[in-house]
Amino acid sequence: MEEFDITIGLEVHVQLSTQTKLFCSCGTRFAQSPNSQVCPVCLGLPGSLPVLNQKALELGVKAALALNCTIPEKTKFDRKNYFYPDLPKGYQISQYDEPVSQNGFLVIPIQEGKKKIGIVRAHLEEDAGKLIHSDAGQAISYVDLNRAGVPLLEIVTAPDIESPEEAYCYLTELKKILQYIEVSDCNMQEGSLRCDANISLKPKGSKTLGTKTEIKNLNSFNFIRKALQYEANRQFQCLKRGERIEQATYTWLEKESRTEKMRSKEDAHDYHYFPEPDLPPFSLKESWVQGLQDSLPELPQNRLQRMMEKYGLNRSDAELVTQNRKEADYFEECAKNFQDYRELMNWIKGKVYTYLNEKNLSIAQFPVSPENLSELLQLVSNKKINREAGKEILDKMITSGQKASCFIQNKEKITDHKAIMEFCQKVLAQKPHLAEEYKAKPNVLNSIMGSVMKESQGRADAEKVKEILLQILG
Amino acid sequence: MEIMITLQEIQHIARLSKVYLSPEEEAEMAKDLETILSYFQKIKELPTENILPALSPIEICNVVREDIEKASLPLDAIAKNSPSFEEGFFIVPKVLGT
Ligand SMILES: [Zn+2]
Repeated sequence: MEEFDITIGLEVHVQLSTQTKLFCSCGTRFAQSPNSQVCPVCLGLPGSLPVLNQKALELGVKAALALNCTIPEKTKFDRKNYFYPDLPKGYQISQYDEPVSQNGFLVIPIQEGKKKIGIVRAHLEEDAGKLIHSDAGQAISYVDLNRAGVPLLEIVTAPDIESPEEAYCYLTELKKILQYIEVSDCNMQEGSLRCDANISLKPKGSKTLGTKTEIKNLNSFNFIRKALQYEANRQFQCLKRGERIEQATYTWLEKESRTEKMRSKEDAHDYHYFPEPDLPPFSLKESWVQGLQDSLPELPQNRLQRMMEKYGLNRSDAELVTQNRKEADYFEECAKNFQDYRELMNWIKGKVYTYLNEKNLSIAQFPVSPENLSELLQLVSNKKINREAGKEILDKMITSGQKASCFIQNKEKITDHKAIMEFCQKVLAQKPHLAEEYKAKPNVLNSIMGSVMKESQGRADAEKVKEILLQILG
Repeated sequence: MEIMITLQEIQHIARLSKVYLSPEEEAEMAKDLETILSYFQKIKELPTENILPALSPIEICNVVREDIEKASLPLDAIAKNSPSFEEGFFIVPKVLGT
């Protein structure tokens, strides 16, 4: 494999987060009963006319800006013609030569630092319907057109990606950005993010690209990485045997961990693109574009950098907490009232994330507000309660949604010398053998301390317990 | 009249359109398309060097609508327009691949 360079290009379709379809007012909700979100426009009935959804245009341009694309002064739509039952009009309204954006890039983290992946274009288009093939031996298919006309943004990379790993990185970063700017939920299970990949091999250092193959039906980033690894190796074996690569489209069979040929180049479509006569062109005013640019939130990579600097977080913690905008917001909200950031990070990693993972919830569903969590952490750091009690209280706050102060009664830390002395004496009276053992094995102290802490229901100040025990035991 | 469309092209277009044409129909289709294409041949004679392509005869721009959901068609209205409709689905002959 060393004598070849891999070249990968990715085509990602994301569903834009609109209430309605791209060219009609039908809803876009997932998993509705079949054909319950259709109208004359998305059914392609004669005489119906498409009208562009303003919000879809905004979201598309917003995404393009976040991907550093150039927004032209003018954009238009074109018909992409093909016949298939999931496409009622016999054409898909897409963009051909005047897309809504071009020439962007996305920076991905790689082992050696950072790498720029070029983005050739990002354009708007409508989704097709869904076909369900009868498996009852009948020669029929069922067509559901709820998805037909749903707004998509197609984002096409330059052939800059040089390994399956980089492809994985690009997709992870792209998804993070699109979610940050709230342009798409990028839910792969619901098909809001779909990816096609093409891959070719060329002799190391060669300027001319090799023949590429395309892989479709990739529905997780992991599958994409695996499919690309498989396909790179398959092409390599072909070339090693002196064979030529056939330009073809493959599908990934996850269960068998291999790609399978769907169709060869001879069957390639000939789409006969032409301008959509039913939609006027669109001029994109500079002030409008600027307004969208200004509305963009801080993007994930900048936020990661800033949070590392501002809160002194290490990279892996900062990556964890900035993987999603709401989680980063949560951390920063807590940090306003509680300035021991490392301690805060530990609680979020330990207690908050554990809970969210266990219950499979998002941070937005976490029952404890940032204000309430930081209040609790202050109580712990001011030594009003000890850490163990703090954890117990947090559990109670999670189940009840109430503030820490509701549970602090009978949880305050016990620091009183006399009270602690009583706990110690009680334990030693109950377990006299421990004092004996201690003489031979000083680390028995830990188990005595444990018993004392238990006796105090976790409230005794551990430092003081140790001090007093050492005094008693001599 | 010069030949502008070949039999192969007719067959290719028929395949893309997923229609079956008998040899007689192919010949007839070739004749019809020749007539249509000859109109374009005529238009081609016009001098257009300094004219920008027009998308539409009317000059309108930026027609958009707000992202507000409206009621969809009731199922019986959809079914009425479909030759075969069952349990909310359109039924079509089985299609797989392209
Ligand atoms: Zn509709």
